[in-house]
Amino acid sequence: MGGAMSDEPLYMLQGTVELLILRTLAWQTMHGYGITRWIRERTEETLRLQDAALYQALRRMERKGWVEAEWGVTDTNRSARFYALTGKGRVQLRREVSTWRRYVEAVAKILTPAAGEPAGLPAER
Amino acid sequence: MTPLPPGIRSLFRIPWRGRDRIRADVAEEIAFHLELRTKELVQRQGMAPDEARERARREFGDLDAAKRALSEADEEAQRSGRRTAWLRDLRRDLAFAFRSLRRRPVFAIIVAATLALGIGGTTAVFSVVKAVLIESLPYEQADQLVRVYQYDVDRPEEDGFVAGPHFHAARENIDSFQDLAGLYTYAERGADLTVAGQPERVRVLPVASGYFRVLRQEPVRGRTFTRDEERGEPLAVISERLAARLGEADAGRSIELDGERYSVVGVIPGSFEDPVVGRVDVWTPLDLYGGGAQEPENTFLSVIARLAPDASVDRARQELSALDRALAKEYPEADNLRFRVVELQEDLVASARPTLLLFLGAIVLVLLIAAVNVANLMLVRSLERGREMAVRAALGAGGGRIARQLLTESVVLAAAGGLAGVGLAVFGIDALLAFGQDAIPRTAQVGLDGPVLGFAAALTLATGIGCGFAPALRVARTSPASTLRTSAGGSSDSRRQARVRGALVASQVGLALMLLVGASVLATSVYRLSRVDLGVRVDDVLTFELNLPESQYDASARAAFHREMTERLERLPGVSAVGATSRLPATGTYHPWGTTALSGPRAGTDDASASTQQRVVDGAYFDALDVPLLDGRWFDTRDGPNDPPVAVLSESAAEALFPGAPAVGQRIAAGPFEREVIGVVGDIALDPEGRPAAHVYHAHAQIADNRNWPLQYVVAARTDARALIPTVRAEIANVDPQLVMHETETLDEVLGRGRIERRFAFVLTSAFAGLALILAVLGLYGMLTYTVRQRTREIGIRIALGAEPRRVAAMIVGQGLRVTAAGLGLGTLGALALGRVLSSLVFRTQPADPLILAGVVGGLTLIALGVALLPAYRAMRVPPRLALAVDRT
Repeated sequence: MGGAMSDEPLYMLQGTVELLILRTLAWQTMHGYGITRWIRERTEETLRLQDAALYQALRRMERKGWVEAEWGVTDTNRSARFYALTGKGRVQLRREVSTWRRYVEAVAKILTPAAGEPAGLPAER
Repeated sequence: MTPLPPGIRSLFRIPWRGRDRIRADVAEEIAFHLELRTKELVQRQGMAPDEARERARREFGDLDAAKRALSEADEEAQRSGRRTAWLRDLRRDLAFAFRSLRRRPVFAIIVAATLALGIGGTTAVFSVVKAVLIESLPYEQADQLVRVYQYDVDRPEEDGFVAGPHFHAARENIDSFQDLAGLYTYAERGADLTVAGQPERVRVLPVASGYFRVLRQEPVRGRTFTRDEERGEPLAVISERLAARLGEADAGRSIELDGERYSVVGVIPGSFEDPVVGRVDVWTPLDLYGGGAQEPENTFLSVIARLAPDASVDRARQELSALDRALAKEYPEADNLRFRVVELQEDLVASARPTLLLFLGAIVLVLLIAAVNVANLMLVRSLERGREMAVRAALGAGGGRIARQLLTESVVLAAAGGLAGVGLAVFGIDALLAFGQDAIPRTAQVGLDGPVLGFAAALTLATGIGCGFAPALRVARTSPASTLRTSAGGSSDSRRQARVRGALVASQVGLALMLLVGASVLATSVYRLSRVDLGVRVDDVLTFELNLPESQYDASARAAFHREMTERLERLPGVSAVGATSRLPATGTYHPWGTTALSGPRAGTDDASASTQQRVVDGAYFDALDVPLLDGRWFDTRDGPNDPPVAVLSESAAEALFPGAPAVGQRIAAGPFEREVIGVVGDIALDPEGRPAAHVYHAHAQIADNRNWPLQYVVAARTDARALIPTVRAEIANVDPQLVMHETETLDEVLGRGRIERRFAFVLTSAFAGLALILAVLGLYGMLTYTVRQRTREIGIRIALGAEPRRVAAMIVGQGLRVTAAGLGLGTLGALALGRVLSSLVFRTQPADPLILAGVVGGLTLIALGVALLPAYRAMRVPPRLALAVDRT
């Protein structure tokens, strides 16, 4: 990896797509476009969700019963498919959040130098 | 319901979408997404619309792949969703059905029991029909098997046995047959097999060498007979069952039959059954070359054959008829014989077919009546639950949903009935077989196997749906609002219900009428059959057969034995007369030889011969059976082996051979035997139906050297025939302790066997008819009772307004009679149609006999009147104020 951290948006890490969608829907029922926009804006363009992947994920989550979908009519009189969190989805969200937190803590332990270890990242060669 | 975001109203989408619809929806969702992204790019980043659109598309990813993947996912989701939804609904319907049935256990039990009878009965009869009529015979390629008969051109409707020379000719010359074999079924041959010192009765079947080849049955051990052994060689092929009983040591060696030794050459699997005769224990080789076997007039063989692979029955027929012509030229004395060939399966079952189909029809009628009863019950109950259903409907269950629930309930009830019915069918089958053993062929294959159970399941499902159909349909059509508004029992809806129920009951009455007419016709037929005059005394006559082993008795010993035996038995207390005969009276044709008048008016002319039944008799045969002596005398001590040979004729034989002249003193040639006629006796019928036949009687002592005649004894008792058995047995043992009394029966039992088919049909149809009558009566009673309940208010008002209670009662009775009349009308038409089916089973009775029909119609009308009385009485007693106060909930 060369150079400083760029401002290019990061695409989703494997396994976090569903967590983020669940959390997004926990805020509010949205249609598909609304979800990607929400995530982009909340992370200030850092995280981007591949559109096709989003819809695939939504279908997966529908099949597992975490998400319910229904067609509705927007105020501009357009019909759109809206997604909402189900009770099962809420349970799943809690589970995934807890898993994520443990993961993050574990990673932090690796990255944080213990007493006596050299600090900082290895220099570029 | 999904909470949509605020400001968004719900859009109804059809739950079940076709593939195109699914694809369109996916495209729409994606298009919406792209549109919004495009708008965002234009507004936020100031892009040109086209550029923005392009960018949005690129960002999305592979559009086509995404559309495809999402469409597939949606289709799959819909499929599995439908499956789970269906299962979920089914579970819910079942739970609902069980709950509501548990609340009304009596109703559920009555319905299940009614259906159990109908389904069980139908299943039992079907299992017999399937095994006997439908399934092919248990032999390899059974459709190639045929039966060959010979008949007399003068009597073409009687299939008879085949003569020796003709059999040989057919075997050599008919190419259509790949194998041909004869079997001796003329007289039932049993023999006493000595097993470990004890005599045991076994069934013996003498057969030609090709027998096992025709039936494609390989022996389990050893071999079968060869052509050279068709001289009555003392060999035997035994059944595995017998071999097991004999133990390994004996099976390979020899057995003792009637005192003679036979070498066992082969063993046949125990499951094998002869098609004509059934269970056989021992097969022996026929004698196809000795004495009588070469006589062209001596017909004695039953013949079965297997068609060649490319041959047909018609071709065989043609070949046989060509052979007929050739044989007539070669054996002019037997030129009246013709061959007849028929498929073996058809031959065996044709006689049982009408009876079995009658049963199937009858039990299906009973099932229909039962189903109508159940449908009626369900309809009534659905009316009572009208409120419950209406509330459910108002709370959101669609009419279709409720209808499905009712159907589920009905199918559950039917399933309960079906299970119980299959249990009943087990007993039913046992009863059918036990009772109809002699009337139904091929009973070994009857059982509750896979296809029969499948039939029962299908029948149960059909019955469940059929019975639940009417109430389900009604519920699906009614709007909940109207039901909630009015109280049950109001206006036109209930009038239509009443008409439907009336129609159902009328149909029950009609069906019951048909069954009752059928049963009555059969009953009349059985009664008339039992009153046929057979020409002999039937009551209190004991019969049994005595077989003298040739190794111990020669001709003169046999003559002496039988003469002595008849005299000794006659001296026993309780015995009035004793005789013996080669064949019991009215048990069918036996030894029909051509007899020629050698003197008298017809002698020397072409009309001199007649076919007559030959019988060998001893002792006081005619006396024991109350056969009148019309002229001349009976046999007595003057007719010994060295005395002039004599014969006694029956009345019709005398008439046929010597018309207009006294027969006594004339001479005849019965087959090869020249005799002088010494007496004429009354006619004896040929079969239990009373068909007449000419008989010629020979004295045993004078014909004992011709063959070892097994004689059937007839012992006329003063009181009870069966009580004599021990004394008779003791007396026989006094003369020869080795002898065994075979087939000890009373004469009426023997003759009853011949009528078994009709009696069987009668008893079963009567049982069905009785059942149908009970069900129809219940149906009628239920309908009238319900009517009274429903119209209680109306009745109360009428009475309050001054109508006489009697008028009200008359109204109820009138309703009952109207429905009954409609049913009787329909039923009469049905009974007339049924008449044609019955015609082959009835004896001297017209199936559409108007007297019987009128009688049954009258009887049912009276019953209907009686049934209507109780509800009518109740209607009369309704106190007006009670009626007015009732509001049904």
